[in-house]
Amino acid sequence: MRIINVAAIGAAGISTMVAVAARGQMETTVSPNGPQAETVVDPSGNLRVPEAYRTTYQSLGSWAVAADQGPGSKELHVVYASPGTIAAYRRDGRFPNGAVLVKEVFQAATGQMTTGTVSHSEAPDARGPRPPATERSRP
Amino acid sequence: MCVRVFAVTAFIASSMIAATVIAESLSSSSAQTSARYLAEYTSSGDLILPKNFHEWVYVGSPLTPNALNGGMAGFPEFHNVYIEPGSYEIYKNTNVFPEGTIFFKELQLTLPPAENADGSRTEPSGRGYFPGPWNGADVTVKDSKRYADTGGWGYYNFNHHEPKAPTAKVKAKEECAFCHIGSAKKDEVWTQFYPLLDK
Repeated sequence: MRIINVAAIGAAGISTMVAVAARGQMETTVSPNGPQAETVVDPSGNLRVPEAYRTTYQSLGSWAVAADQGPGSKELHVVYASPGTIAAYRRDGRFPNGAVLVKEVFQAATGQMTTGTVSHSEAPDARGPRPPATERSRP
Repeated sequence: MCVRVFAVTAFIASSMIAATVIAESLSSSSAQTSARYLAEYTSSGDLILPKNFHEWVYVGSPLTPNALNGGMAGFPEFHNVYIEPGSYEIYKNTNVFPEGTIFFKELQLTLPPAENADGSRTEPSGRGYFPGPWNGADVTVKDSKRYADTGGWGYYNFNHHEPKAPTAKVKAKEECAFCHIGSAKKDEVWTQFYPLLDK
């Protein structure tokens, strides 16, 4: 498995991690089970954040990091799975080759609303300008 | 020979595509509309639980832990919200939620057992709230004529427990729409909590 950390926070105030279930995804032949890896791995084996994962991937789940002080949460970690990954896992009991998971970290805020004490992701403009995104790959 | 076969095949394929495009352009509904999933109702007017919502566009997960809300939050606990993909495509281009837009809020309890007074527990990734069992759903549908009394959106509850109800009756204005009309940022949608929609 390869992992990329996007060290910087993107335009939406978000840091992202990408993981690929990989075996032979560097080959030019696209595995019938794993075409998604082709979109995130370059010929040198570096990963990049896939485009449009928020709208083309499926939500796999979220967890909220508890606030250090006071009630509620300070971050929401949202994990997306490339198309077909969840169905394949539910069918076969394992992640298929080429499956791509993206974990996106949202800053969270906690407040009182009509539904009670609520923690939610902050709007993109809530934290000011962001540094440019950079990538770092791990062997 | 191969080239010729390919050329013929390509011509047939392109002709079929062109015919399809023409047929769709002649139909009363646009191609985009025909690809959308629209609300389904029973003969008595109840909303049928939307299908395949886990494959829709996910927009966010506000969290109201039971432990921070008197032991039982009104909407326990993760609110995993999805928008019907065809509706999202239109919204992305127009900045307006089109007629027929459906939002699906699936509720999901936090993973038990809680280890702290605030309901949190510790897993290898840290202390917080982790996703547990699904816990019913709420759905809203935009139809300005059908739901004229509630600002153009209809609100439905499909249980706050599993299994989700197969159908649901529309909620009265004071139960759901009232808060959405008063505090949601855009067209009764809490876009302020969903970065993908907040533009």
